[in-house]
Amino acid sequence: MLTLDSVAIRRGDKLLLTGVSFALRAGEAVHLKAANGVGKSSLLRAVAELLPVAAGSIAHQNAHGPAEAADQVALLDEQPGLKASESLRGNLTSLSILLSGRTPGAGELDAVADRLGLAPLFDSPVRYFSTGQRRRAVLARLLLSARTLWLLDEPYTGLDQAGRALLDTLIAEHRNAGGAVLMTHHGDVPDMSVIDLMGHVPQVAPDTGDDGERW
Amino acid sequence: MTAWWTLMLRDLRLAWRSGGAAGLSLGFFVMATSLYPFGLGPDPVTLASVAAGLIWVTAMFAALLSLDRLFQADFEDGTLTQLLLSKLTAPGIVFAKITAHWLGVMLPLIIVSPLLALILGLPGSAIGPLMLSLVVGTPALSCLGAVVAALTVAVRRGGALMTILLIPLFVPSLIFGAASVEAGLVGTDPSGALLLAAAVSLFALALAPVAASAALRLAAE
Repeated sequence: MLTLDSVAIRRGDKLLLTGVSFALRAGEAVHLKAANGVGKSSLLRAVAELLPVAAGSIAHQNAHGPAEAADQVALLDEQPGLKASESLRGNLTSLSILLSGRTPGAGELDAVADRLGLAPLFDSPVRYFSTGQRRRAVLARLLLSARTLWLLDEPYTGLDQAGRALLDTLIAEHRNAGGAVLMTHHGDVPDMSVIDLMGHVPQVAPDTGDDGERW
Repeated sequence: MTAWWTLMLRDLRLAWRSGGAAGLSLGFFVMATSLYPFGLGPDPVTLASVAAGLIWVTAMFAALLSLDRLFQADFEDGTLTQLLLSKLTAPGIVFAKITAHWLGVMLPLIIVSPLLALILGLPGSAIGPLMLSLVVGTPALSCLGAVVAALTVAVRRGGALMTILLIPLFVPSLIFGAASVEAGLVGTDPSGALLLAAAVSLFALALAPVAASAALRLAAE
């Protein structure tokens, strides 16, 4: 589904990661681990084709070119991606059409909202949601996007215990349905292969070595 | 409904919601234009001779007022990232947002412009040409505005920077738009100026989606 071959990530002048290689097949999940600022989020954005890689390659199965690859991934990052003044119903309807290309049935949206415990808030503007409720609304976006590869950047942030358990269930269901998950998280996650990115941090930044050419 | 229509209609909806750009721009346009008689004196001849230019300049300022949030709101709440992952191409996103901006912000200005023309004493016969010049010329404002809004999307307080960058770009539309109304007033053929205003709009429309989407992709990294 996804193959990374000696990928290097650069942000500005700083080389964050080098030589990251792994493969992700349908039904698999990978947990990326590293300290703050190492470049986990940047790596996820590179997989989503939002950030060009500095070296190496990222190949999405069945995708020719970045546009098709972007059509396979769903990205959950720190930003909600919801319009505060629109109701949850309005937000999810728009996002579902934009991301999956099809109009959701009325019952379908209700079922998703119900599942995430957001049914009572369905017609309220997202502005009035608490942090945790907003994070749950973002999970609804994942479900409605109909994407095969989920890129989850710290998905447990802000969720209560029931919410975390729900997310575990959603991930398990997604994998059973042939989807794959690439996730960052600072704690432990059961049943996922762990890749420690600390081994891919360049020891000496190559950019600072060319003093002779500067003046 | 297709993804393009969904985005366009949602932007239109948000523009007219409280705190949206459309009501603010319309209010500014009406209030600012009705100030001119106080400053210039109520003499109808004086006012009528500058009315078309004043309305054009004020419409431009009203557009500037609405353009700084064109992409910034989507950038700040993460919607831009989701849009770039959506079924739409990046130029498609920009084109939908330009369309929504013109329909939601510029078109209401054009619709109230006859009222303001009357306040400034523009002869009734010039109202048709004024509206026509605005219809033909203002798409350039939405398009050029989108390019500069995309370039400044990640800049804190980018609105002021955007205004300074945009005003020179608006000059051709202003010259040809206002000139076509003047030509009608003095009885010469307005079609030359009108066609040039249309040319500026079409050029901006061809350029804007590609240029703005490149800038948005950089901002979304």
